[in-house]
Amino acid sequence: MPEFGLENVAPEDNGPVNFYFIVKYELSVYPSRVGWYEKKHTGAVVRIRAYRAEAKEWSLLWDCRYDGVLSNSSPQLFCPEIRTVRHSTKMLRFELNTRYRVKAIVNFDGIALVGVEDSSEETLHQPSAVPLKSHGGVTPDSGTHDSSALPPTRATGRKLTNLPHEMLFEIFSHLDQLSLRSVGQVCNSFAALVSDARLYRVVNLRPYWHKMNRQHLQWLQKRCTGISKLDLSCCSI
Amino acid sequence: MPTIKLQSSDGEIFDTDVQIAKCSGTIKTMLEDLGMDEGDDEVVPLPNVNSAILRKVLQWATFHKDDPIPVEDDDSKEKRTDDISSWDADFLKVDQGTLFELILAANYLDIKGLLDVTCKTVANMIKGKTPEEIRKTFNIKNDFTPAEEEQVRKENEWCEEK
Repeated sequence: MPEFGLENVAPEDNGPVNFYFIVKYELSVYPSRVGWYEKKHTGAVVRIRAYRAEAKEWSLLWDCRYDGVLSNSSPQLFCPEIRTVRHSTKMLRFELNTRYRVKAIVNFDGIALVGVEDSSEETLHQPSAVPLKSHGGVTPDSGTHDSSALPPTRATGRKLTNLPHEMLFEIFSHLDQLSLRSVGQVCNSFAALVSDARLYRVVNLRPYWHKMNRQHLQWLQKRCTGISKLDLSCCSI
Repeated sequence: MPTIKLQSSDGEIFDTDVQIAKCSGTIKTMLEDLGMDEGDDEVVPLPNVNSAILRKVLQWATFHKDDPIPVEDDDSKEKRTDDISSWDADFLKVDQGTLFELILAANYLDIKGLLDVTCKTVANMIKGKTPEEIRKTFNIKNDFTPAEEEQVRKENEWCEEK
């Protein structure tokens, strides 16, 4: 996981997470409240950090170790007490741990950041609500290693790249080798997906007989650890 | 014919034939496990599917309601993608966003036939394309570093026409 801005965080304050996403807002505020709505499989959030642009650092807003039961929260609407930070922010980082859960799906419907624009005046008791920008502001491609963690669903204009990995896998399982190799050159996450041995259980090299060479066999060998059927017809190797 | 009420994530209620609703493994299990009786006025909530997508799914299920139950995939068989019926092909002439939502809904509702045909459709959009064409088709960012890209290119020299 890329840890930009987290270099100076002590390891005990940076426990393992397997997914995070970042929400950006239009306005920078001194946070006084953070609330989010999770539709199902709730409770995966373990930490929330606020970005401090000047220092290029994340400061801790909330940690489940200090507020495990999430005070002020109803079953789906979470609004824990956050720490006071002395800087304004327009970027929140939600860190999740879904590793020990039966269903690793998380589903956020909205995330609100409430705060004041300037803390120097006596505006503190009049928080200006920042427009909720839930789906659009989320950067779902930010470092998921656990394949099943989901960026918010119901995003308009869903993209191929933010389908859960099982679904991508299902799609790729319909591809021939040539297409799989193309897919592997598209981007990092696809490259990782197409090296899965399950895609190479049945390998038919017949259509590629004229292209077969040692190099490709080596490429295949790395992936064919679970092969059950191999057709080498017409290949002269 | 007995019906049940399905509720989409945005609250719309769909009065649906039980037989059609049971195309969905998820709904079938729900009805059986919860012992919901047909004719009960209970509503089955489907919080992961919005009304536009649920309408499409039910349209698909209605057309395919008499299909034989698909057998489990035989691993030793090669998968093919050229066996999409013309009705399905027409049905899936939708924008990419809708297509991906249908994949997610088919997976959530456990409708194997719909999942298969939607995934095949996307596979067909990938087949025969170069990496760059795939990126363009699906608006994907190339996030390889120059060094990684060079390595990937080297590994794949095999693919290039001789």
